Amino acid sequence: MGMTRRRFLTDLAALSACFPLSTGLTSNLLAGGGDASSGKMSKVVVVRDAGVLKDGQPLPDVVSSMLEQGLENLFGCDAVEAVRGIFGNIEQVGIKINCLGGRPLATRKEVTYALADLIANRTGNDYRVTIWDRSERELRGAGYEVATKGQIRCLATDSRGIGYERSIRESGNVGSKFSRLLTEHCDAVISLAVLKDHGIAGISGCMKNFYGAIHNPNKYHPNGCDPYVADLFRSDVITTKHRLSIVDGLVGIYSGGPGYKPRYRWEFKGLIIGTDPVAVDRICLELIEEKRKQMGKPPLKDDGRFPQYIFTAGSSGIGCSDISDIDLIEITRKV
Amino acid sequence: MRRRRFLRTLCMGTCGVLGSGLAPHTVLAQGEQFHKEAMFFEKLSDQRIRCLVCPRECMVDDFERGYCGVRENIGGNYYSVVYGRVCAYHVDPIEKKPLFHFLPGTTAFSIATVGCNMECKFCQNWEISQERPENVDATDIPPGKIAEAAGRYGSSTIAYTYTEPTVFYEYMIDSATEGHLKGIRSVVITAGYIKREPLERLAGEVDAIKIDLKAYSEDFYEKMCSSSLQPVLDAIVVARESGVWLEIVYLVIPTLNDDEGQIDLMCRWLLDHVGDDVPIHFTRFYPTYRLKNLPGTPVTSVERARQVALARGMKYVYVGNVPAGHPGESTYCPHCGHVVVKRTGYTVLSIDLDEGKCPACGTAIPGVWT
Ligand code: SF4
Repeated sequence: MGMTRRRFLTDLAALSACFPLSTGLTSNLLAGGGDASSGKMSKVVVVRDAGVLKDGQPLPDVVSSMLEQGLENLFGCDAVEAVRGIFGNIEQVGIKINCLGGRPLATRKEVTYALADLIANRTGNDYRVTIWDRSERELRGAGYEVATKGQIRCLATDSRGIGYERSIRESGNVGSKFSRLLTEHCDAVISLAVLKDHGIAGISGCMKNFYGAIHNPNKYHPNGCDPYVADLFRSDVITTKHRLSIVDGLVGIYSGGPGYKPRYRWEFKGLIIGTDPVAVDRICLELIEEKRKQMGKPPLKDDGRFPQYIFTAGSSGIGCSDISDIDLIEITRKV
Repeated sequence: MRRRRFLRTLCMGTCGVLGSGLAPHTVLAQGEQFHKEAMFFEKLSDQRIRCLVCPRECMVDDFERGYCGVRENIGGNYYSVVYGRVCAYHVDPIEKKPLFHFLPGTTAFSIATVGCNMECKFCQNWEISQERPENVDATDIPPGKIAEAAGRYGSSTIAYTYTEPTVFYEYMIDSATEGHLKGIRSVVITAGYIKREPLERLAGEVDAIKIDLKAYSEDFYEKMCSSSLQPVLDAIVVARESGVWLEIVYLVIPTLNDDEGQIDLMCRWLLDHVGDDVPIHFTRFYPTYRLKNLPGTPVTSVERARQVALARGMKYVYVGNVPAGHPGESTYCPHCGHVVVKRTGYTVLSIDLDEGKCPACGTAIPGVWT
């Protein structure tokens, strides 16, 4: 990766205290995202495990363990404690997944359910978890079952009785109706996106994942999605509920996105985790650029689709887009 | 038409949703989609396409849709997903479009699908124009059935309206063709944000086009409509050159585009590029959608705009959304001032033309009168 400052697993001993946890966007920069010991604005953890895929499919136990290790290193405490700290006394946690790419390129069920299980069943806090995306068709196409099982339910904005809000909320220069799953059925939300190249936006990470929470994402694509991704994320309904961003990088694509193109399949075998969505996307950008270089693809800038929106989000106070201010913890297992 | 003077009162009433007469048609459940291969796009690498219908020229990846939300890339091919998927149909007076020089006193069977390639903050039909097809109930009406329904309701025309017909281009073209086979003409009510080639093709298939010129300001188009002015001006010229009947509407919005100097500049541009006999309608704005913080337009504002246009030399200048019976609703002979079409609201009270000419002085009044 092209980052100038990064820390590896061996540095972890320095992370002894559980970070103060954010309750909303403005505190993210100095709370869950930041690290007093490093002096950095934000922290992002990348956990990779060479053995996470078997025959191209994720192994649930390994995924679960990666997720927990990532959270532990992000927050400096046990994963269950971290989850309790993130969500406190709220009742309903949403996990916004991304199923646009179909089964080969959607957020992997193994990642989603590892996270949902941790939140719903292991904290003792009785959290109800809603795994959601915009349509049942897309959920099913990605291999999800639209159903409720115990404390975990999986459904879509177009599920019966859900839908979008009736009124418009302003997001910069565009107005949108938000999914009632986000506005009414979640007290807090996690963006659980996929590591992928995007033909217009450059990359599609955890901020752009919220395009699936509005009724008119098509209005947010001009100019390489800049400043639309940032404008959308700055909506109150997102900033007040977003707690955590995770990018499923078990299998991604480094070109030809957002649809799945087998020739650009990329088994990165990693999860990218942070509370600062800008920093997480910034790291994803580095990862994708590095992979593209390795595979002989031009930089996104030369392809006319550099994701400037990440930097717009950084300069508008959502999070940290300056790579030198991101404390990157890389954990590589089973090398 | 031979010299013909008649007095007619058309009792249109208000246009309501037609609940019958179109059976058997399927009411689509939300989420179902109608795919028809799109016209005017080019294939790029990696299954990406570029849409060439409107000036946005959306580059669309597999699984994605263009800005309008109704054209989708599926495996590297591009499709309209609203073909035949009608979300609104009404029988309207043609005056409601408004088209004042096109078959006055007739009705238009008016249809829309969801979708628009602009996002005007003052859109009056935003609940369908700014939606995606799967979020709005729709009725399946193939083009042939549209023409049939228009005939059954006694409409002389099919109007593509309410949202932005540019984005349901394929359905509009096919419906216009079917209509002509049955003697029904077609009129397009558009913001004119369309590229030259599809517009030229369209102009050859339809009989009239009304273009909303939303302001004479790039800044306005950018900030209020998320689009740009120049392509609309270009479309006005292309439509005029094509020979299709053309009228212009200018929605006057307090403080945003009601400056008389700007309106005068616009009229000068119209005079220079399309001439003095293209009808122009100044209509009143009502607060709606994302522009609720402004008051409605005073009647005096559209009256002033009309005076500016007349003073600049435009010959057929109207006011709209005003209390019925306003003198600015009627058509006057520009030479002698004779009232050739008298209107109140959407109702035509009299048409006094002699083979398209003023019966008092013989001046030709441009339009499609029969
Ligand atoms: S018609 Fe729609 S898809 Fe085509 S360029 Fe215009 S907005 Fe984009």
